[in-house]
Amino acid sequence: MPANEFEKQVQEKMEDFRLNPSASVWKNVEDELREKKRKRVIFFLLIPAAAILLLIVSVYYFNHESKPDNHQVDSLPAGRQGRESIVKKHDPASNPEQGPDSHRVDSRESKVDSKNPASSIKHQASSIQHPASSTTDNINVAAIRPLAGRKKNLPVAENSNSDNSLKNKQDKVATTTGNFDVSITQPATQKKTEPKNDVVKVNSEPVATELKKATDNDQAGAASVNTDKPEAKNLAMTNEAKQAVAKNEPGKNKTRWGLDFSIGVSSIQSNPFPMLKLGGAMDAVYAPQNNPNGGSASGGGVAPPIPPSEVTGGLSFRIGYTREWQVSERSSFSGGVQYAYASTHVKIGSAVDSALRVSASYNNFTSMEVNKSYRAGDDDKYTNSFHYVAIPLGYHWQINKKIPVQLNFEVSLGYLLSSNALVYSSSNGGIYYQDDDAFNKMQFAIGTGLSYSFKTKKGADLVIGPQLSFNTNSLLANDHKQYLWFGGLNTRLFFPKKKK
Amino acid sequence: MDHQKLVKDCLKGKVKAQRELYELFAKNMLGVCYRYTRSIKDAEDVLQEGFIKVFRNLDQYKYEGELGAWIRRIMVNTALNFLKRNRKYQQEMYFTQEYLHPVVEDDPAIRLNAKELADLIRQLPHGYQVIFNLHAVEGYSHVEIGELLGISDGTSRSQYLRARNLLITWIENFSSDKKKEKYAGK
Repeated sequence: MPANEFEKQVQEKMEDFRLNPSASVWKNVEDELREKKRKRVIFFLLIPAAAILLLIVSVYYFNHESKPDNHQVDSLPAGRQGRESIVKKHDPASNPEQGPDSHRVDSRESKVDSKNPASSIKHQASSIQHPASSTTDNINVAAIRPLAGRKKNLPVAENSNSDNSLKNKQDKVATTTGNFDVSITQPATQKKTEPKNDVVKVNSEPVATELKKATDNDQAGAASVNTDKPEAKNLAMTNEAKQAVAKNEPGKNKTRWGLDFSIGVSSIQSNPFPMLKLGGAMDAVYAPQNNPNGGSASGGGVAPPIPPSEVTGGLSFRIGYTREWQVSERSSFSGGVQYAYASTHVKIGSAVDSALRVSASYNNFTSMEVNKSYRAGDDDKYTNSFHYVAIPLGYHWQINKKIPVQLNFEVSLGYLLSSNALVYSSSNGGIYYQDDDAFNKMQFAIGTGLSYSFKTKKGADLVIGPQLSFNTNSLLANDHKQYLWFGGLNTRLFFPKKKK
Repeated sequence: MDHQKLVKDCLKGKVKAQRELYELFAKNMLGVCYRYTRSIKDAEDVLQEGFIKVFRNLDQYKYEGELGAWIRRIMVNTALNFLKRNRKYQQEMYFTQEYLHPVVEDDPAIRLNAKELADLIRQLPHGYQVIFNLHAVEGYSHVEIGELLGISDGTSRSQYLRARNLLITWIENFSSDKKKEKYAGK
C-alpha cells in the first residue's frame, strides 16, 4: 500500500502542482452553459405556448359549435343555475283570435322554427306589451318562469304575474315550435479539439490485455478513502453523496410505473371552460309542447311542465395504472389506463310506473317509449353515475430543480361504459327518464394540476397534488352543451424498482 | 466567499460566481488533467469538459467533504472517459495480467519540482500512468482501480509496482543528470 514515503512525496508535490489554463477554456465553458440555458428557456416557452394555442383552438371550436340552430333554444346568461326559463311561443297564426292582450316577450336572439314558420314570431321589442292578460285556452303567451317558487307558483298565477317576471328578465328568450321537447341531462353532469499526439514512447513491458472498460461514470463518482490507500482525505466523498450522484445519473431509472388515484368532485357546466365565462352556467331552456301524452292540451288551462331541478356536484374518483418516462432531468411523460367514476345529483319527484312516450332530442326528436321515469320535483335526491374507462396521457415538468413540485398537463380519452343518469324531458308535465343513448360515449378531456413528490419509508415515490380537468366535448348527444368537469386531489404512487 | 455560498450562487445561475468558482479551482484541476494526458491541449479539453459537468451537476454536491475534492473526482472521471474515447490513448493502455512482484526499491527523496515530476509521470506507459495516478496521487485502492478499469486488483497492483520502479529509476536518473548539469555549469 502506498503509505510509504515515496507516495507521500508524490502526493504533496502533486497537490501543489498548478497550471494556468488558456482563456479559451473558460470562454468555451461559459458558452456551453449559456447555450444550454437558452435551449431550456426556448423549450419551456413552447409548453405554455402550446397550452395557450390548444385553449384558443378549443374555445373557438366550442364557441362556434354551440351556436344555436333552428332546433336549439338559447341558453340563458351565465349566473343562473338549474332552474329553467319557460318560454311559450307567440303564435298568431295558430291563434288567430289572439288579441292585443297577448304578451310579447323580447328576445335578443330569438329563433324561429323553420319547420313551422307560421308559428314563429319575431321579437323585437324590449319590453312586454299588455302584461295584464292571463292565460286562457291556448298558450300563446310567452312567459318566463321565475327562478324560485317553482312548485308553489302554479301556471295560472305565474302567467298572470308574468309581467313582473318578464320585466325582471333581460335574458335571451328562445322560442320553439312544433311538438318536441328539449332533453337535459341531469347529470348533470465540447467543444472538442482533435488532440495532437505528442506521445512519448517508452520502452516498457508490454504484455497486456486491452483496457476492458473504463468507467462510464464520468460524473461525480465518489468513494470513501480506504485505510490502505495514501492519505487523500480531502478527496473523499461519502457513500451518501455517491448514491445521490448515482441516483441522479442520466440514463438511470428512466421509466417507472405505479398507481394513479384521484378523488374529488365532478359536475357539469354549459361550456368547457367556465373560468372564461364564455357561456352560461349549466342551464336549460325548453319549450312546452302540445304533447299528446300529456302536458299542454288545447282547450283548457295548461300547466307548463315542471322544469328540471338544479344539478349539483357529486363524488368522483379515478383509479388506474400509470407509467412514466423521464425525458430529461426535470420533465417526463406518462401514460396509462384508468377507470373513472363521476357523479352528479338532481332532485326528482315521484316515480312513474306506467310507460310514457317521449321524443328523443338527440335523435331528431323521434318518439320513444320509456318504462321507468320520474316526475320532475323536489321529493328525492337522485345520483347520476357515470362509469368510464380512460386513457390519460400526461406531461410533467418539475418547476424547480431543487423543490420537487411538478406542473402537470394531461389529455385523456374516455369511453362511457355505463350510466344511470336521468334525462329530462318537458313532455308529460316534466319527467326524468334513463336513456344511455342520450350521452356521447367518447369523451375527450384536458386537465392541469400541481403535484409534490416525496419518498415513502419503503422507498416508493408518492406524488400528490390538486388536479382540475374539463371534458371538451359535450356529455349530451343532443344540441345542449353540457360539459363534465372534475376537481380534486391526484395521487400517484410509484413503486421502487426491485434490486436484482 | 465560502464555498457553500459560492455554490449556491452558481446554482442560481450567477455568472460571476461561476467564474469565481472556475478561477478558484481551474489551475489545480488543469494539473490533475495534465497528469492523465499527453498534451496540454488534451488536458485543457478535459478541463473544459470537466467544468461543464461540474456546473451541470453542482446541485448534487451535498456540502459534505471538500468542494475541491468533489471537483477533482469529476475531473479524474472525465479524464478516464476522455482516454477511453481516444483511440491513441487506448492503444497505449496495456495491462499485464501476470502477477509480478518486482523488487520495491528504497524510497528515494524526490528532488524535482512539481512540474518535473508531473512530466515524468506523463512519460510512463499510459496504462502505468493511469494506475500510478489513481493509486499514488488520487488515493484509490487497487480494488477500486480494478473496478474502474475493468482489470483485476492483482493486475493493478503489479502494474503499479512496475510504474513505481520505473518512475523511481527515472527520478534518480533525472536527479543525477541535474547534478551533472549543475556541476558542469560550475
